[in-house]
Amino acid sequence: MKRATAILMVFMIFMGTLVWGAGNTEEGVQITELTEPVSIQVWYSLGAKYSAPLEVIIDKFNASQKMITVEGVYQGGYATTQEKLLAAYVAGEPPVLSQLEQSLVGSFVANDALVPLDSFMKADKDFDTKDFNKDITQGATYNKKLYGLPINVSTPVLYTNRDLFRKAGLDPDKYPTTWDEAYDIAKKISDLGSDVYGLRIYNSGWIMDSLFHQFGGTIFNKDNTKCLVNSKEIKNAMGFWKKMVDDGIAIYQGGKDGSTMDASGVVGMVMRSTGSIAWFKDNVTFDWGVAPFTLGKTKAVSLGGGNIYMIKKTTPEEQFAAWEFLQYLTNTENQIYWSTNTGYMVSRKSAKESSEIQSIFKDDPRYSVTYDQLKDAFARPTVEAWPEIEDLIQEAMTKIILEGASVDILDQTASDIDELL
Amino acid sequence: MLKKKQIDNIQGWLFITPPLIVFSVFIFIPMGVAFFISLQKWNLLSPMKFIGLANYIKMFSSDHFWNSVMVSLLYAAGTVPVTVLLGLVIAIMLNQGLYGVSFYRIMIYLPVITSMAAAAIVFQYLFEPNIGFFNYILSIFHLPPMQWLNDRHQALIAVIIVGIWKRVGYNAIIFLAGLQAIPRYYYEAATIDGASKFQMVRSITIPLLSSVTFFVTVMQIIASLKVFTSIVVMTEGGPARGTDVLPYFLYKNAFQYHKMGYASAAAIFLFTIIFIFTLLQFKYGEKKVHYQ
Repeated sequence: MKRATAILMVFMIFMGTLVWGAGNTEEGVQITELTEPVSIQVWYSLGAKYSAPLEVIIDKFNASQKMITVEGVYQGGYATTQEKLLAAYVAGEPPVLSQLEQSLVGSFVANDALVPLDSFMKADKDFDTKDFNKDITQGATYNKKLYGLPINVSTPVLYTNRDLFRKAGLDPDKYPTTWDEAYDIAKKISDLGSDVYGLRIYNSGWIMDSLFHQFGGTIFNKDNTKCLVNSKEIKNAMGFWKKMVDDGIAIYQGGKDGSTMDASGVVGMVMRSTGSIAWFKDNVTFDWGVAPFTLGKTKAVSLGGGNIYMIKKTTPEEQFAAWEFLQYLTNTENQIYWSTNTGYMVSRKSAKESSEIQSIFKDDPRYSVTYDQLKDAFARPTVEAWPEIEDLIQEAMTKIILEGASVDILDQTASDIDELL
Repeated sequence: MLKKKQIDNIQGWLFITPPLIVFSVFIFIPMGVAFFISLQKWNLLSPMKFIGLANYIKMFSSDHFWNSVMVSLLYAAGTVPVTVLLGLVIAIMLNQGLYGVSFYRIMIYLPVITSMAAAAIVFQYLFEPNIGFFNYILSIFHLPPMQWLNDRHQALIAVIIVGIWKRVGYNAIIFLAGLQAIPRYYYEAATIDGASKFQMVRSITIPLLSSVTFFVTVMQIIASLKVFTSIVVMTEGGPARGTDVLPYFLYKNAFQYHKMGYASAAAIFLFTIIFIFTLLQFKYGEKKVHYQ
């Protein structure tokens, strides 16, 4: 009996060391070539329309060489993907690559679950880091280290219903440049009928964050230790939106029902991702335009969409293979292919200057708006508790805009959020 | 040699071992672990930290928690009486031996076996304020359109309607089984005595069904406290926590906010309440039989 116990204990210590060892894989480049074939997974949250071009790139990559097989796995929306990735990471079986939305990276950064890409980039002479637009890669840079490469990066742009502009006697080429102008234009459009709205607003995190910045506010202080949603600027911002809804000029409607409204042509203006260009092309029959969403005193838009990150607790071979694929995915040629098929931004300067992209800008200037406002883009805060914080702010906004609550309830929201920081 | 009694004992244990293992792995051990985690601060990624009852204290002083308790109670108050009464009425109608009754039985039971996730997506379209079916019905009766899932208070009504649709068939089938266990000759005797249909229902059916009614009510309360799928699909607890029932509250804290300890405390709270109802069912469910 004693012997059995002893053997069991040795076994457990051995297993424990293994687990401990697995959790402490060195980061960065450890091998320089693969000796055996490797299969890796890349998780993404892109719906059908957007995953198809990605899968094409994956297939091309798999056909281009023999050692690495990449499998793309759809994991649901942004939040679901993040949840599943976290669960897989805790279980010790994460995929080596995963797409993550800009604001959902916080917990992975805070808990050191990502492999920084710097050493891969340095070791790889063919990889020209400078070719990447810094305004875009800032979204994946934490503590001055680059952790991810851009895939579907976007900024919110203002989609306009040019038919409604004309009906209201407005020049469809004269889009608003300030919130006051937006108010006037929206008012004229909403006067067309009781079920027509000048502007559709909603409480998605990155849209709220853009609005707050435009009114001169920020959600957190510089080092993310204090919540500032009860600042005068943010109260003004919320108050302004509330007034637009109270005056019957704007409608507060998000989600699927919001998209339905956009498609049915009862909304004069709405801010959505530049990646929605593909959606508008498919679902909208009226004449629509794209304008910059840099309204407000401060010109600002938040970076949206996602980057692809390399996850720890994976083997050096997997990481090596992952880097090979990441490089392929973000090379100039594939970025052009991806961008022309989706409307999301290319992040390489060489891709943007390519004749393909430039000719698209010429044929359809709606694609170029997001690049024009990129200089005003800011990265989302990487706060670990962001999902809960976003819910709290959304809730406050709904209460203020729909239920007549005073903007002063933001004082309570701010102190609730402070507890989470 | 083993005595007969000992052999019986061993046999007994052998028989219950397989279910015991399954229950342990999937229920008892997770329950114990949940209680253990509820005493920790843990975000999945960092190591656990023992904090005693702090999660419970935080929970009982949180407005959001009490909001969830309130929403769960309202949901139960909205679904339980209606599903039980409607279930009884439907069962009595189904018990009449009308032509094509098995077809109706299937129709009534169909929602119970329909996947809630799929049904909830269909209901989302039915509740759509502009082109949805429910507002169309209201417009026929010249009633003003409702906002349904877009309004904090109406969203709860919407999920209650879905809850009733989902559960009424289950209750009806249980009641039907209870009705068929009531001997025919009671009704024959009552008919001879000149009792009306209504009198028979009131004086024979309802008293003799009391144990079934009790069972159905308790099960319905438990089911209402556990409602989850329709909430996830249709409202995600919103708008503004208007449908943030307890199971969704703890799910969100666990898997979106990664507050595993806090969520486990909420789970233990929910477990305690459901456990009390289960004990009630065990203690009083059997005694209320009225047959002879």
